[in-house]
Amino acid sequence: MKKIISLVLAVLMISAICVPVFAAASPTDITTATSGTAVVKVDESSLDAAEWYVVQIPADKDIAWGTESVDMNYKVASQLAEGKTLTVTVTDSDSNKMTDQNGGDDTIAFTPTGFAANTFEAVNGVGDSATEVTSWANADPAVTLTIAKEAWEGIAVSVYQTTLTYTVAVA
Amino acid sequence: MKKLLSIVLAIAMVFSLSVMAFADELNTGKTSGEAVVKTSTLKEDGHTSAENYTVTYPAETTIAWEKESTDIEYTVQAQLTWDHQLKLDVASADNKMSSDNQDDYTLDYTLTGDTSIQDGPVIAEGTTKTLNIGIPAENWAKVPVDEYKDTLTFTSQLVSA
Repeated sequence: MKKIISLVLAVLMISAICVPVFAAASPTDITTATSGTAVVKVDESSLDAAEWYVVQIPADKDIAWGTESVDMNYKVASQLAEGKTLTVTVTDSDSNKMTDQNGGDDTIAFTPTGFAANTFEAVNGVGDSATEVTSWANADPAVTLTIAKEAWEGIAVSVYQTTLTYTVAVA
Repeated sequence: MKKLLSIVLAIAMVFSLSVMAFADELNTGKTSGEAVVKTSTLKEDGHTSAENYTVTYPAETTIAWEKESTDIEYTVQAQLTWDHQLKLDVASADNKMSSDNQDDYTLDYTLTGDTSIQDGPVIAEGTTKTLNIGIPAENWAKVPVDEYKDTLTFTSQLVSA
């Protein structure tokens, strides 16, 4: 039995040996010349389809009453054509204020950081594609909302809310 | 068994690491997305309400003999939920000051001013309210000279706005 198995495995191993096949696009016979060339190049028509980028933005976040700093940063991975850039801009829904969701007039003001257009180079992070990212580039400066201690005082205890919109552009 | 336990603990440790949650991805097919930032009405411990109020009043007020009007100030501060108000009542059991030395005479008085307030959800820190103790001259004349006293009770509660 062992001899049969070893025989079968040997046959399989021999079958699996890969032998590269060499061929010229326009076959060139080397007769009087002693060398020839074959050009291998990337199909330019496939370049646009090969570009990709992913910008991961944070989930909705509930913050405890009295929180003074909120991290809302995003991260980027991309592989674009040379010379292209990726820009991410963040805006908020109400002029840097959180509004009372129970109809009151009070608001909570915050100071944003990292909202301004942030431009990244063509290649960021590491990954084979948009679905196979293994390393990310974090935005710098990071997106944060800073809320002064005083902003929490003198207002009704309620649910205050703002919506951040993250927008990507490639140029 | 030890190896299995160490593997389980390692997995548990990895899951316990605090990692910011990313909810959405932007790409060539989706160039904008939103994230909502919302406040809780609980403090950082996750179970203490952010509502708070303070009523500060003097523990004791001394009135000079035959003084007919005496003000007592107290302060109120409140930060309540949008649907609450603070209700505060100040009262005496019978508006009579009595003596520890004898039971035959009591000094009658009136309690007026901010004896009952209801406000909110926000009452600014340092808001001052005033009570008045009124003892007419004829009431002073009816009682022997002695130390008379009474207790004012401050009762606070949160009510619906």
